[in-house]
Amino acid sequence: MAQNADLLLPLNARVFYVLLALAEQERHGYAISKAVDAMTDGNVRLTPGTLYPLVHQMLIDGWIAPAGEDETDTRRRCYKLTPHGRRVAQAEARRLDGLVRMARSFKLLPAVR
Amino acid sequence: MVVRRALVELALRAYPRYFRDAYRSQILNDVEEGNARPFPAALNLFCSGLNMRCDLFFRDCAYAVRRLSKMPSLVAIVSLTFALGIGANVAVFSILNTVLLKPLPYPNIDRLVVFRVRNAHQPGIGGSLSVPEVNDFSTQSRTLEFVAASSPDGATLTSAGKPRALLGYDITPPYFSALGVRPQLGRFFTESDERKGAAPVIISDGLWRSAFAADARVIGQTLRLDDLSYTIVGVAPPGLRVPDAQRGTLVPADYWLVQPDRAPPRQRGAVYLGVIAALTPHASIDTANAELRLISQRLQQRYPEFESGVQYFVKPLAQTVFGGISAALWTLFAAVVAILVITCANVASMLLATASTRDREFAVRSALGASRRSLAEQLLIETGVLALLGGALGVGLAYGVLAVLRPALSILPHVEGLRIDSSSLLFALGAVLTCTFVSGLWPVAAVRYGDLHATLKAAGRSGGPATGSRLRGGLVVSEIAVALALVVLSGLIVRSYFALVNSDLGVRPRGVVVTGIMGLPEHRYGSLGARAAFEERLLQHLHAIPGADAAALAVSYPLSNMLMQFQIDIAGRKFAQGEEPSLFANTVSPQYFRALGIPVLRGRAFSDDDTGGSRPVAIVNQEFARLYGKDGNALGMRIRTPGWNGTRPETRTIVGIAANERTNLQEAPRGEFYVPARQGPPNFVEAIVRSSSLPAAALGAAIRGAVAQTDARLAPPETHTFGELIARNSQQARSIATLLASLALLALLLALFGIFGVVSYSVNQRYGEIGVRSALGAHSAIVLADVVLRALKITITGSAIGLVLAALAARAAGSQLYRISPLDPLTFGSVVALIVICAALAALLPALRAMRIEPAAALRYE
Repeated sequence: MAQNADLLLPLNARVFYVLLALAEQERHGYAISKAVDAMTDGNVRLTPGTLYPLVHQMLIDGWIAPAGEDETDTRRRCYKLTPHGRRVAQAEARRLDGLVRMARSFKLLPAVR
Repeated sequence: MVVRRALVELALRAYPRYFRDAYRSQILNDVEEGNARPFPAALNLFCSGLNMRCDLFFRDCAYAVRRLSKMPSLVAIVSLTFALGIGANVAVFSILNTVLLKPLPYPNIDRLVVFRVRNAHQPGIGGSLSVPEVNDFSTQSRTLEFVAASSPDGATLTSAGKPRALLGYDITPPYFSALGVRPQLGRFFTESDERKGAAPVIISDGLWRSAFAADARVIGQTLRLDDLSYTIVGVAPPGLRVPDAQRGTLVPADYWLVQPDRAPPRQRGAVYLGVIAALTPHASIDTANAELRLISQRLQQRYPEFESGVQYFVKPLAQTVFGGISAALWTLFAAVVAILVITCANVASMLLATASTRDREFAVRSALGASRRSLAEQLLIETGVLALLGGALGVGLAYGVLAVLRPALSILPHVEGLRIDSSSLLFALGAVLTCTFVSGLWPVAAVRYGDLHATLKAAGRSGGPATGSRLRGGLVVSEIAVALALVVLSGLIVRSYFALVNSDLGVRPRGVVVTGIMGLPEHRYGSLGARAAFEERLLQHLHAIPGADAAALAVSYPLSNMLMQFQIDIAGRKFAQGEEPSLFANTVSPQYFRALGIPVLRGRAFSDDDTGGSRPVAIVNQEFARLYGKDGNALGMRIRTPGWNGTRPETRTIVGIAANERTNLQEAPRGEFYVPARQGPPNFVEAIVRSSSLPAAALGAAIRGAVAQTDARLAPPETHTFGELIARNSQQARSIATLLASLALLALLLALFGIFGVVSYSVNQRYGEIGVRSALGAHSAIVLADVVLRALKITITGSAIGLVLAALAARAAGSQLYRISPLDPLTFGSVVALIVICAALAALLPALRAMRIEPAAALRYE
């Protein structure tokens, strides 16, 4: 996909968590929600009802793709980040980083030692 | 966990099918692996599924709106068609809902009943009882409580300012308990109010505001009616209308007095009371009527001279009030439903035309993987968007129509609350959904899917899909059929209305002005002499009006709403018990027949010489002479007339036979007798004055002046021309006829629009063919005839079906027709002619276009 990733920002926080979980490694659905749970100390819970509509949309948009050759196990399908998905996640991370820098310069956050 | 699995499977149904297929097993696995609690997990999935569906639906809607915005003319035509159809439906539904479906404003309306009387010896059903009969039912019935009587009363308010005529009712104490209403101030009547000496009165909210400035201390104050004092004990709630049990209507009143107010006739046989009652909690209409049959039989045995052949029964009050109007309103409702059918057929036909041009789009989309179902959904959503737009416009239209119609509808019971309320809007929404499916499913069925190759090959070439045009032809046939039936029905009802207003009343109405009732207060005009003197003076003043050709006083005249009916004996004739002639009675001054232009056919009219001292005489009408005379001649016969309100019974010689007059617009004349006013001065009169030179308004003012000159303490009477009386008596018929005729016109226009659409479409489709035929030398007249004939074929098929529908509809509405056969050939014939001519005209425009097709252009177009 040749879209400019910056145009898609800001991302829905849950979408960003899913991208983060998949940036680390390929995961199947349940593993994604467990990873997000662990990342956020249990603050963000992705139930199947929340997760799979996001997965569906991200598949359509080409941010993630089915991973692995094993198509027979429909119960545990793995997903991986596509290059485009990675660019989107990076763009969002840069945007957040910029915001944090600004917050520091305005003394909303302590400076980094 | 079986339960969890089952719940989750169930919740998954909320998702669209494609999503469910793709993710079902993953979701099930996650739920199992996470060991989620079953109910929260299922609920979460269910909400998420609904959410997804809503998103999809709105996306489809947005897509539909985007697509439709590219076809503004289709949107305009279709939504306007929907607006007309839905608007007419919402307007008529609102009327129906306000008038018929909303309960009457009494808490126990379901239990309220009205007494009715059937007399085996007389036609029709009466609603009047005598005082002893009311007491009989009150004491003997176990199924009815609060048996209460009322009789109309009128009086002049003489407390303050100018005298003012008030309308009241004399009622028995249980009356308001039967209705179940509460006073807003003070109390209603109790049994103790019936004793002599106390003169309590209850006043209406309106009178309280106009005469007492809504003063809360009004209780205990004095109200003076006809110079007599009454003590105000209560104020009725605002807007209260009470049932007039005899006439079966709800009427406003200014005051209520306790029934034995002055000196009413108390004997059995003097029937003048309307009676209402409430069913006891355990009784039904059937058990009450079974009991009334027993009581009627008992009364027949005890009082054979009065009760022979008389059967009492009760009818629900609601049914009595709405009896006449409900059939007419349901006819209107049927008419708007027919219009909705035509609307849907019309829109379906237009959508079919556009759908066949969209074959290509759908073929491509289905080749790209869109399912038949999702394409159908898309089509339906487009129709839905159009219907919703049309519905919104239609509600606006209905709002405007009701605002315009409000004055014409004022005759209907409790129509003052008429507005477009939440149930009207709900109905509109229902109409929108109906329209969406009824007109949206046709194109769905007609669109061809999947066959990309064939469709693409055919696209861009004329000669569209045959199924589509055959369907459209069928739709237009049904439109014509329904429209024809509706136009015929409205034609019959309009002709009934004209037959009604042109009823021959038996009078020559030009130049005649009549007054409403002038009651003579009992304490000043109690004696016959005082009444006679008043009437003499009033007549002198009326005769003195410059330009008055004739003037008379009477207790009744055609359409006066004042009817008296008496049983009389005819000398030398024996009638079986209960079969004595029951006749309309009128007391008139000498010039009555001249003033109204009623010819006296034989004998003579009354003269100034027919006085209290001369021989008692009477005049009868032709109908009496026909029924009871020897060979149709009644001159010289002697009849025994009853006395009432202080006059004596007399044996009178018939000295004249007058032509029949009609007491109301609907009924045929009945036997009637007249007695001279001087031989029995009445205690209320109406004036009748004829003038060939004075305009009605001036004559009315002069009559009111004459009344004021005669007795300044009498409220001036209202005056009317016969034109006004006829209009007032036919107002309901006129409202219904006007509404139905406008609906029929709308139906006709929609159907013609349908013909126009289908013919111009087929001309477009046959553009090439017509071009070729012209090129080969076909005469343009032949092309024209060919196109018009196709339209006529559709019209004639539709008309044939429509004639059958019309005959069925007219038969069903037969009770609403008046002096016209439901199968009136003139109406049927002229409507068919009208529709065929209009259809030919609608087809002419596209046909003329076809005639002008240039062969060369047509071939290039190919």
